[in-house]
Amino acid sequence: MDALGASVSAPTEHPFSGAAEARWVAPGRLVEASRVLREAGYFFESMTCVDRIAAHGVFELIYTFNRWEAASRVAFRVWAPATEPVPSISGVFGAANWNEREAWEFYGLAFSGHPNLTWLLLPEGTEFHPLLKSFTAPPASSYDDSLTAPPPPDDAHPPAHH
Amino acid sequence: MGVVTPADRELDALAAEAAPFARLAMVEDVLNLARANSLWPLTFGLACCAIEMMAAGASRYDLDRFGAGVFRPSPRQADLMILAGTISRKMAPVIRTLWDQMPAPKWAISMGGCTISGGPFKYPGEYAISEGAEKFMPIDVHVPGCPPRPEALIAGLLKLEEKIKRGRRFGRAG
Amino acid sequence: MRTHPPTTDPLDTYTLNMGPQHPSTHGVLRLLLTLRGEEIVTAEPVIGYSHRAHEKMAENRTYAQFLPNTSRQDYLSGMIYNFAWVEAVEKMAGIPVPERALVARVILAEFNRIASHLLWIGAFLLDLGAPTPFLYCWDDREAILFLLESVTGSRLTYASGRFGGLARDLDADFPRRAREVIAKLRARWPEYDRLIEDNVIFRNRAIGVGVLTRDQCRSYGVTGPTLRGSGVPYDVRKAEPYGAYPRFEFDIPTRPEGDVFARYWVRVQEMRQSVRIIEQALDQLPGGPFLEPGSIGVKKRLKLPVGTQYYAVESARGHYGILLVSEGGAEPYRAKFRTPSYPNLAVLTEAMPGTLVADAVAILGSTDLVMPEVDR
Repeated sequence: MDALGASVSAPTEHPFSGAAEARWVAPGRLVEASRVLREAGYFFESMTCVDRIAAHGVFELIYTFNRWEAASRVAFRVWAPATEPVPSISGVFGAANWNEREAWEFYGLAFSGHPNLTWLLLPEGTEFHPLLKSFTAPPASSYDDSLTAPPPPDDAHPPAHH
Repeated sequence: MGVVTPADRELDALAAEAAPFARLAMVEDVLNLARANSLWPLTFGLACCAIEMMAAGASRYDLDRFGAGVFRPSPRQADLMILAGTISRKMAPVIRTLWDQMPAPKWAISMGGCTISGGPFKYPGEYAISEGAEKFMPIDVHVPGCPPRPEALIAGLLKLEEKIKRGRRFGRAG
Repeated sequence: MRTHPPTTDPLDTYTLNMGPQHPSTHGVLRLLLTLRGEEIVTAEPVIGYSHRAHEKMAENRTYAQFLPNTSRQDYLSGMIYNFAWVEAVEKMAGIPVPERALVARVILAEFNRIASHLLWIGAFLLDLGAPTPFLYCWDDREAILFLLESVTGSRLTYASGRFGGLARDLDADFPRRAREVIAKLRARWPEYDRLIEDNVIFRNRAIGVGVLTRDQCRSYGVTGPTLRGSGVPYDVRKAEPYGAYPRFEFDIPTRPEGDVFARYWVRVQEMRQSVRIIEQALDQLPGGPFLEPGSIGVKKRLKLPVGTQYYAVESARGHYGILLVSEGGAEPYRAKFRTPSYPNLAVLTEAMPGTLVADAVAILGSTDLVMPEVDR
């Protein structure tokens, strides 16, 4: 962990519990920092994106890593400006691939160097980012109109003989 | 589009020919009796309710007692769709395709709150689910619950069997 | 594991679409397989067909209102998920829990774990073409469900946790009924061993198939029985003990091979360990209240202090984590659910290439996926 060197100083007082160590990492040093953990035998546990745009104009990314042998959770907190892409760590941890796709579709946060940044859970072509705090309801056009049409009348069901 | 089977076409032709002299209601009744007692559901689970659907088919509840235990993995071989679980917006077009692939006559049971109205996942501004199966396909019997017990599904199935025996189908008043 | 040199000829391979309606995808998973003959070249899971927006809902619900959602994330071990949510909130709010409730939670959760594993064995063997174990497993599972229903009132999607205890107490007769169920389970185990584990067809389809290496597990964050089948004794109940687990003795079954058979074996052994925990817990079940006197329960609006907290439990499928972000309001500012099936499915993109199509079903089944838990 010491190899990580100096991280950024905490941009906000927002306590983190449930981890042996939680540290702020600058977006530019994320790949390097996660590689240190990968080599130290940590596994990828989770990644969370938190919308803090209204208060700070940023997304807070929380990565947690853990070890099998002696559990000690390390949390990376990244203060990511909403408009700049965050470096992808999918080359270091395979699990980051899906997690980053999820953050992209839910928040519109881009990741640079991601091999396949496309929709994961939402239907392909979804144009809104539902987990943003500014999201209220999907646009009406996101419904597939052909589905709401009534089924063809007697065609699907041959007439009964009465 | 649904499929009109050769047998149905023949019956139609026969009925038209024989109409001045005879009614084929008896034949239809016998056919309906057979249909009601040999429903072949589609092996198709969406979420939580699918587990209760499996429970209904397994050892304790044994759907075979009602002639509906032959779960078919292909829509081409099934005549009953039991919609068990939440219908996401991504899944809705797939379900409609499966329904269209099933040959007529066919029936559908919507099992659980999600397939009836969106159930517990419906709230103002929700973006992920399709609020009920009836938005895109016809449903014969609704079985409420979250999830409904296997007994409830069986009760729904018996209701459907009753309906089939009475000769009622979609697209006709009765 | 067979390997071939990579081909540049696109006509050499073809794409097979499996799902989202497929009998062996356990719900609504879609797999895009690129095949060369019968061999899988690439496997791409397409998910989201059961996305129900649990995380967005959490932001629109109070902590208590979200209780029923938790057991619907993984409906096979819903009790564990329900208690995880309750415990995460209790921990963050500093709500005390009476001893009786802590031990009772362990009993209920472990019964739920056994029920989940039993269902998995039945469904997995069904995937491999053996319908008989399905009927046996469901018979046992129904006995457990009947027991849990007598306490919680529901068969599958429990919401029996309360902030500060449980919704209902274990009645005086519960230990007797629980021991009866355990006796029934015990009597069946030798039959399972003879019917499944010693079955030559099952062994041939399971041994040496779908090997997951430790490094793949590390890279993707695979946990639970799937990881323990690759020889790693990682179990949240031991690694970060929570609730009443530190008081009970149990082992973490592991097997080094990392194949389908190892994952099967680990789950079967885990059921025995769960029974061991339940028996100790029944012996030590303390008296007293089941809900902290004067507890807020679910009736009052609960507000958590500002902060972020990660809380993990061991579900039937592995490490289930809840990351709660509170801004001091009555609703979570953000709730992230780190579900175990998600990485366990993602790793298949690396574990499947090189195997045969027929093995794909066995490998998929052996990871014990619950799709609504992957999609959330």
